[in-house]
Amino acid sequence: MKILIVEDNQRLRRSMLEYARAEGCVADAASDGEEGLYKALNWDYDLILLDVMMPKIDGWEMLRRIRERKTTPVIMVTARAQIDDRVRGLDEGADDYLVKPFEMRELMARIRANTRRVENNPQPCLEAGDIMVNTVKRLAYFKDQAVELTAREYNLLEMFMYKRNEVLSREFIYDHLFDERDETVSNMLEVYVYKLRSKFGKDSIQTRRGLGYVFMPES
Amino acid sequence: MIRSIRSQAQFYYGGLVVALVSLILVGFNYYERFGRLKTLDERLDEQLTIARPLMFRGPEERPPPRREERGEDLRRPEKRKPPPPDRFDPLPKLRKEIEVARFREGPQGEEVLASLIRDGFYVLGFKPNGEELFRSENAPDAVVPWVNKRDRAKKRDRDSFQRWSGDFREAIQFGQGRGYLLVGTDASRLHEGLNELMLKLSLVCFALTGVVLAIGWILMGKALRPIDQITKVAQSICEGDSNRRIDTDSIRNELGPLGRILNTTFDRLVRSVQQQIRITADASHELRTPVSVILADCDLALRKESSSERKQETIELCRDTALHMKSLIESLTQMARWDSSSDVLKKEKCDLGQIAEQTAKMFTPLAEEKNVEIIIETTPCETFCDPLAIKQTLANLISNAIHYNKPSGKVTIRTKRIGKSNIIEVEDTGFGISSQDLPKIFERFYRIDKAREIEEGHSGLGLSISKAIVEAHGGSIEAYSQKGIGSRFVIQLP
Repeated sequence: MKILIVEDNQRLRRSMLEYARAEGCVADAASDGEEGLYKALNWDYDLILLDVMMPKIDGWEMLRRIRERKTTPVIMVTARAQIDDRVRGLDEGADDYLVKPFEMRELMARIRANTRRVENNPQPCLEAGDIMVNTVKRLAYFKDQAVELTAREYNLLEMFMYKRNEVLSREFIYDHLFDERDETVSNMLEVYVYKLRSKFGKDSIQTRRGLGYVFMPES
Repeated sequence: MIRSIRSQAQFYYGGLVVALVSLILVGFNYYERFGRLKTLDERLDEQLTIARPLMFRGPEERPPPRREERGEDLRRPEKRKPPPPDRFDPLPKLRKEIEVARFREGPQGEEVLASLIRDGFYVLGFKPNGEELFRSENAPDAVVPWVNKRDRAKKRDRDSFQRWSGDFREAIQFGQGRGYLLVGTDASRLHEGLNELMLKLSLVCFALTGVVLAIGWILMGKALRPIDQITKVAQSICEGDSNRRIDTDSIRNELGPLGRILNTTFDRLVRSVQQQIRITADASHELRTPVSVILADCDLALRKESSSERKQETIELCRDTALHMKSLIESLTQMARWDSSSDVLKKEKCDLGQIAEQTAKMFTPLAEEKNVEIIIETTPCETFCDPLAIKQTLANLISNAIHYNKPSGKVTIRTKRIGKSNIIEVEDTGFGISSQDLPKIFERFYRIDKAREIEEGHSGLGLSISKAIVEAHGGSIEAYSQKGIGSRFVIQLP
């Protein structure tokens, strides 16, 4: 779950970032509209949290320009609470609208809900073969037995569960697993794939040479 | 009890008019009746004189004059001399009687009777003992001959008197021991004429009164109609339509000034309600961000994996943010105060030059810290103003000038008098304000560099408050700036 937080208030941005990461999200941040737009258009995020009142480019403008090129889900997080603003936000392409002040729990819940919608998997629990993943509690089960996973492992598993039977390139996986702080250390990915294979079965994740990985739990 | 002004006025005023009219009518009635009665009595007396011979002998036969006429002194009780005794002569008395009876039954007597009857009078004669001596044809059956106590009381010193006998008015003449002569007439026709007249008069009077009252009612209604209008407008404003006002052009009487005052009051009320709403909306809006900051960080710190250092950070962050909110609240309160009215100014005679110098000196430590030089070029400017408010305004400007300055920059404060106005200038060599931002800087909560300002606790209201203070004094404030070079704020006060 890779998200972009665009918020000009430095303290709030920092808190949101820390919280999202603590919740297991992979998160980047931008402090104004220009930076946010740049990042949003150049990387693939699973979700963008967008503030409205920002210097340089404001939230409305950013939303418009993102929507020109991408279908990334956008949740507007803003102090503009009037009904007119809310309707405008949703009509101009946002997928959700959250008014400040908000509790972080609610923000996380909305992020998860949006992700489920995007991945076309409305159930909070994902099942495939012997593997069961509870996306709310961030727990995984194999053959009804709880499996211990680190945050990164869980993220990778969740991604695979959402995009099962799809070939995912290494770049794609990499982009969604690591945030801008991480150095490019490519074999980190191999390590996580290895760990998952050992916990859920060797054949669950198959390697496609030159293309990437594909998750096929049924086989 | 009727409660409207119109009804009450109508009731009392109308009542008064009706009472007066009634009084006049009654008075007139009595006066007329009295007059008519007097006339009737005079006629009766006439008829008595005419009828005299039917009862008493000759016109020369006269009763003895009363005591006053004899010229006697009434105060001294004098014994009345007894009249000279009649010669004992039964014949003369009888002779007189026969003579009178002969006259009465003769043609002259007939003629007298007829004349009386023709004029509507009846006549009766009575012997001294009350026996009826004669009566005319038209005399009513029940004529009381006797002189009763009441009549006797009337008689006293008189020789004749009038009395009522049912519907008949009668006059009685005494002959000395020779009986009574009574002439009477039916007085009901007296009433008739009068009653008819009174009825007609009353009808006309009350009809006129009715018309007058009706006109009065209509006129009062017209005069009081503005009250209706005022009530309606006030009601619709109460119900929420705050734009209605009383149409004072159409009111010509004393209610006009009332309407105008009410309109002014409504304006004031509406404006103050709107200001309240705005202040509340501003506050709620501005507080959203600091509260979100606190909430987000607390949510984070309360996670079980957060370290105690992290928690410490959160507590410090909360404190800083709370301080920011505190300054915001104070600014908002200030703004509300200046919004409401200019009466809050406590004006006194002051020297702007001195105030500027004092305020500038307050900032010396801060200026040193920021490596900025303060230059004071003030001249004495006497004016009438609220010194605390002006100090606050200046403090705001100087603080901005220092904060937005370049290192080794300058802040110059000038006061001078040009013509009838006093000018205060605060100039800095700071970053300047872009031409985009310049027109908006006095707007509430307008911030150019939000992140930085919130950190340092600026609320965005400082310049709005300064402007409000200056304008409350009847002055003006202008900002001139060039990006990269500096800015200059000019306050003009009367």
